[in-house]
Amino acid sequence: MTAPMDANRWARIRAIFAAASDRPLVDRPAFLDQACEGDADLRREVE
Amino acid sequence: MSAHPGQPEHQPPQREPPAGADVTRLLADAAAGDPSAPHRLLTSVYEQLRAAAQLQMHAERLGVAGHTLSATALVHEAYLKLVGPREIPWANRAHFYAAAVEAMRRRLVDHARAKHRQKRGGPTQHRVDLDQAPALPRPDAADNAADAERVLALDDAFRRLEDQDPRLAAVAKFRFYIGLSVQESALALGVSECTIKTDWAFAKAWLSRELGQTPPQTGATP
Repeated sequence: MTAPMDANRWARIRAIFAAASDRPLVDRPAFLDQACEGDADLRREVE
Repeated sequence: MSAHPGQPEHQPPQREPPAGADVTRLLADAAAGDPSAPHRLLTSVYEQLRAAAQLQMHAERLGVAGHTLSATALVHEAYLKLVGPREIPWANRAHFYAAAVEAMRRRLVDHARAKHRQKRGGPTQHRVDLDQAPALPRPDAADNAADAERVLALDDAFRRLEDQDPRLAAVAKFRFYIGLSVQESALALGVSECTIKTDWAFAKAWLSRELGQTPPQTGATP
């Protein structure tokens, strides 16, 4: 079993997910690029 | 609120006096922080749901059509049986729903484990269609080995979600295991409907991902 992830990271993933969900599908990739600031791991988690 | 005002034709004989007063008091005790209340509550709710589900399976075996109730309907029916139509605070009702979640979950897991023991081997898939959420946890849901696998994998995923984010897990359990509406979930948890929608969308995505990548990744992550 994986250990729970760091609370800050979890909160960040949730916030980016919520913000991305409010955007039209076509705009999401660009939004994620920007929101994740090159953090590929983070982006993969959100996706 | 209930979509099931129909009168059941095969009402079982009432063997016990209505438990309404007891359960209503238990809910108040639970809301007041009595540490033994949740367990006693779970016992009552589990028993009620078990009886209702058995009646339902019996009816299905007899081929009595139109008797199949969803998990949601079973829970609402149990609520009416145990608490009755009186208005009680949502803070108290929430404890009923929490007990109903645990009761449904145990039934599903016990049933799935039994099936799993019966039939081992064979290809298994860890995929659950979460859009079917409220329809899945029917008492007879785990009728084949693949379903049983899914139920158990989902239960594990829910445990991980509870560890990670208990409040989000509470939303997801209300929505998934007992099919509470957005509005009911919001009232029970004392948050906005908007929060429930956002939480549920996230939880669905997270759970789907967890089920898609079993066994979960282990090892160091920064």
